[in-house]
Amino acid sequence: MEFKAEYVVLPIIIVAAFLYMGLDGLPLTHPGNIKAADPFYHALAVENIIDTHQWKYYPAWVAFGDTKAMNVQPPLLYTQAAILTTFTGLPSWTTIYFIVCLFAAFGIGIVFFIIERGFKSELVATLAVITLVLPLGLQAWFYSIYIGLWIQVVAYFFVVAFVWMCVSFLRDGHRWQLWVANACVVAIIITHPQDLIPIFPLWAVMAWKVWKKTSTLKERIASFTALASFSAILFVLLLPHFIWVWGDASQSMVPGIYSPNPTYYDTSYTGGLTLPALYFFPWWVLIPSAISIIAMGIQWRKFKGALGVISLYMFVIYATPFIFKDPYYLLRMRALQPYVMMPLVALVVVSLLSMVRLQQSLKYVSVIIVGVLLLWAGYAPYSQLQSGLAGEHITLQKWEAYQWIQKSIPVDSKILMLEGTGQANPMFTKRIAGLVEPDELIRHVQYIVKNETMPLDWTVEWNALTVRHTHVRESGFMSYVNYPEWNRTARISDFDYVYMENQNEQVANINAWFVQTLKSEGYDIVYNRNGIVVVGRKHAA
Amino acid sequence: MLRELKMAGTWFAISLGFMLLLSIAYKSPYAIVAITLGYAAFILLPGYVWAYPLKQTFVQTFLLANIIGFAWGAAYVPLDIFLRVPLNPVTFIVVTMASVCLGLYINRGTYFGRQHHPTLQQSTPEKETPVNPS
Repeated sequence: MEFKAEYVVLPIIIVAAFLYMGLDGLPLTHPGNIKAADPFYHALAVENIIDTHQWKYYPAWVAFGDTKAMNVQPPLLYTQAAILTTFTGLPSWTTIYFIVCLFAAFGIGIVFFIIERGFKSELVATLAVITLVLPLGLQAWFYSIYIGLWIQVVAYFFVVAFVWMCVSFLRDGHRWQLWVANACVVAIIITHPQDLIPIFPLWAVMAWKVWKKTSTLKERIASFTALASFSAILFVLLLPHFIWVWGDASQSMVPGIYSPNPTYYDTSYTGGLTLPALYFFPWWVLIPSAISIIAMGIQWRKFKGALGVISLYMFVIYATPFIFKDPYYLLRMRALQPYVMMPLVALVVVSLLSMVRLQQSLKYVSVIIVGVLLLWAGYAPYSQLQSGLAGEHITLQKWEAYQWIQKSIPVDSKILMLEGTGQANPMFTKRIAGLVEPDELIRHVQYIVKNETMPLDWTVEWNALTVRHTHVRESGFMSYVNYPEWNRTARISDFDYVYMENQNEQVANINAWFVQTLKSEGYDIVYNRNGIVVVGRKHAA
Repeated sequence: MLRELKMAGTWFAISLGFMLLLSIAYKSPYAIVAITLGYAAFILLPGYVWAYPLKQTFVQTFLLANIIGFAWGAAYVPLDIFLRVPLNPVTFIVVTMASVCLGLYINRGTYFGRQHHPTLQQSTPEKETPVNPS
């Protein structure tokens, strides 16, 4: 069997998938692999479909008992993960993470073919994809996965796939490439529709090529049908969702007066975590990339396609703060910067290799050696990252408590959660819950110590707040209204249950006082295991 | 006559093996096999049926199958939003089978007819005059 350079892609995909999945892991016993709020709600979105057998509306516990609250999360990734969980019995927090990591790895495979077509070099493509597996520190290459932008990881796969089809169609002109591009747009619409914006110029280029290439009306209709049919139909079907649900969430995406302080490296979007920027990359990436760009610019006729795509991408990720009020989701696309930078580095390395008289096979060996050395160098920071992510928001003991809550507490009950509420993990109770922030708890403990009495008012964050990104409910056919977010001030008497975690001795003492006080107010202990205590109102228990 | 179908089946089987390797991170034999078979049945197979006739190389066909198979999940959107068909195991199986059957029907010329995949032409001597792939 003839060896083809593209076969290198297969072990690279395996290595990449293994590394990505190994970072947080695929635990079968409890959702210990979820490290941030966003992935909690991604996993819950899968469970919601399994629990309710539908996607359109949120379960009642998400929207304060309302059963017609519109689901904001686009359905495709969650539905596919729900299918896998349904038929394999594997937990949702693993099936969705599995798909996310798989598609992140597949995206690298697609980059091989884009680079091979774009630069007409299997060597550049081979080195580029090897370095994409583990090229740099976590901020540069792993941003989307460790931050938890899971639906965007899958959407980015389809963005890259769309670029593949665009590059291929512009060279080959096959109609099936239009159909696949159409499928990519469909997938993006129902995975993370904001990512449609940057590919629209490429779609327009494809449409222009279709127009130029086709001469008869029949051919034109057939080709435009291939390019746009499914995506147009889906767009029309989802138009109410776009206007009233996603539109409500995306007011910030409309063009408007730009922010008075547009910044390239803004941290406010991500709660202090800096979006990936050019300065994340080391000098040995930036300098060869710059050299590549300059060299391509000099030969711009030969590289006009690549330069066009790179320019469009850089414009989206760095210039849009000057156009849109809040280009939050567009700036997240900086996570794809390695996909642009590493092929440019590979181009320089292979160009240097070409100056040496070597047999083609030896050039391949050299390229693979360079790639393996880079992988080896990247493994140390990967291991550090792995141990850094070892902590769990939901331990096995906590998961047992949450499972007890799901099975034993009525669905319309309200729970006050005093401790252990970090990163929105109480979503896995699947109940209406008021989460007390640590600062609020400290403030109340100080009040208790001083006054020896239970504070009346508590400020809570209502469970699944990040899921209720918009507050839209269906009031009739094609008719939508807003539903309110509950008042954040609540009293313990508003809750049927109170959840406490004895995280250390001091907290255990405070909780013991809470339990004693609540007993005198008609509560009783209903769960007490592994340092987790739940008290319930006697008529509710 | 069924050589294309057999070749597609061979490629699919190789892809299955590849998926097994990709699932090793699950670290549990049951989980590895289950996720492989589940993914292959509901995403890879419906994608493969449509991707194989595109006459690309094995790796490209595998990637295309994942693109198309995953995107097929769009079928659940109108079923859920407009027809309120419950998204339960029956629906998942029916939609997947519909995709596979439709793919086999639309591409029957490839699977059951005389249009041959380039790989098949290179590896197997033809007894009859092959149809040149476009």
